[in-house]
Amino acid sequence: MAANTNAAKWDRKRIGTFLMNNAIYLILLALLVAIVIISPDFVSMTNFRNILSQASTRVIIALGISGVLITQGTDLSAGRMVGLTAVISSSMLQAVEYPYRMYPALAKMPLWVPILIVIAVGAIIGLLNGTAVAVFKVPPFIATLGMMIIVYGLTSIYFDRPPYGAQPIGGLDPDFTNFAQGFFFSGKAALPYLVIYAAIVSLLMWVVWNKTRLGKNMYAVGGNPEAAVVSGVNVVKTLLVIYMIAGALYGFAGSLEAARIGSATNNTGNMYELDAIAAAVVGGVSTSGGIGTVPGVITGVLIFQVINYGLNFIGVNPYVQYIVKGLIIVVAVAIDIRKYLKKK
Amino acid sequence: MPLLVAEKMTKRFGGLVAVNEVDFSIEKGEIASIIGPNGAGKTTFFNLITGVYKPDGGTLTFDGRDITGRAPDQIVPIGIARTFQNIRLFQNLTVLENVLVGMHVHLRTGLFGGMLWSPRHKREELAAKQKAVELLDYVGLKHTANDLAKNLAYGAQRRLELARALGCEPKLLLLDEPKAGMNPKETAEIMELIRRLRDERAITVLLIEHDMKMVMQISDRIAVLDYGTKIAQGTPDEVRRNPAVIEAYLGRGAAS
Repeated sequence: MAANTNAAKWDRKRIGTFLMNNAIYLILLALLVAIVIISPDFVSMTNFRNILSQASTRVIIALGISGVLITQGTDLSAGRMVGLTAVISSSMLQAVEYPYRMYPALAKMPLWVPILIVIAVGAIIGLLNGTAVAVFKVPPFIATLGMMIIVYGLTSIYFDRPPYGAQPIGGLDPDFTNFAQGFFFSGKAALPYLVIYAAIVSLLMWVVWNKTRLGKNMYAVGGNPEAAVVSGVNVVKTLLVIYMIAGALYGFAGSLEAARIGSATNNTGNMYELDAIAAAVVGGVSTSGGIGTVPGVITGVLIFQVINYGLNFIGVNPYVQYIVKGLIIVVAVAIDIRKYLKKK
Repeated sequence: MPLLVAEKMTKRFGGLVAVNEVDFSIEKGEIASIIGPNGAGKTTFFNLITGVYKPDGGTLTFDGRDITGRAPDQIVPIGIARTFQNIRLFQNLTVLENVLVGMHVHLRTGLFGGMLWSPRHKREELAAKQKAVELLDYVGLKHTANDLAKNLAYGAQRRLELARALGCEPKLLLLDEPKAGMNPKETAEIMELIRRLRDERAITVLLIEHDMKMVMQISDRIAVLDYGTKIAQGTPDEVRRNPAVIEAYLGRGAAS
């Protein structure tokens, strides 16, 4: 009899642990079920494809931010860096026949030139973030908050100038828009190029995180900076490179966003960092550092994108959507912290 | 030939001279100890040797090389590793991974090797893993290799710290109060382990320890710090009989 009660208690405890460890997924699953019940049309190939395309650039951004999160850092400048690089890349890739070009004299350029340029711009800004954090010991929140504002200023200066002033940079070269909007195959099986790019970046980051010394150092620095130091890890260099890689990824994502949307303004990418951080946390990246996987980040982005798209699809008031998204972030972190506290 | 020579090492924190012109050397294959009352500058001295602090004066020579003012990531690969008074482990990594982090300072594969799964990369990873398992076996933790570090008992965590330090392939191992918080059985085990490190692996050991009984038993040589200054150095017997040490460290009562 006593043994029975014990077993029952133990089972209840185990179920409790399971609920705790997966609470965020269960909540989001419930949301998804509610969306499908309200609007069964939600389950369609078109929606699926749209979600994947939208998630693709976000996966790239989230992977950048997650690397930084794993080192116990954060990056608030990600969204504005997407904006800057979107504006720069589209300004260089407006169709030659388009009458309102930012650089009317600019010849048609091969795609890879501007894309490499904005990746480099992102990397440099990331390196500056890393320098502030690693060398000057500015808390990451403050360092990247400052950078977020600086980059917005830079973007606006670049964007809002004669002859056309603050007009969206449109009329993009069809090669460029096709680079992001195109598909492999057609009809039902069409596979957006964007998904391929996200897959390549994910694979690359998986290798960096799991197979290289840099990746191992990243987990070490995030797991316990002091233990990392005594294990001979160069903490400063590790942080610099991780912030730099993050910047490069935002740069690439910025050019993809511009091409996907077909234009760019100084507000492109605004607040993307919050979505990316939220997705990373939902995907199991710990804000206390040292924990996170590439598949987890991808899952987090997908879940978040499904909810986003789903709420739009069933016509939830956009302002209410903000409230829901905000709640998801806080609840996800609260659960993450509780897991951490419990294990201590 | 001395393995480590510190000459006139000095470290100031504001007006406080934490380590004051300390001369110290340790021979290859020795087990040496630094003792002294709380706040005598022992841990600061360790931090100077391992590059955590930059000295305000003096020089540091290791294995014939000047290493004064070098950073930890340069000092660890040339053969100085340490453990801490308070355990510093990667709590969320497995026991095996904790040791592997220490070993990665010696890996040569870069980004592209890792990306291409080059044969060298695979070979290095495998060799590192075997070495780590061997080290865990050495400190008696092989059976816990896949547990998370935070789930180990206290004594086992200390031994894991030791294994991690050994993963850096040190010639000189610095142990900051290795027996802190251990019971008598664990203390005997750790002393045995320290002796084996020297005898079987030719590792020179320098320790900070409060437990006088342990220090006297295990050390070939002892240096005594008080208020940042070295007041004595010698064999355990010499130090035990030195009146200055007795006064500073053991208290006046012990002298009589």
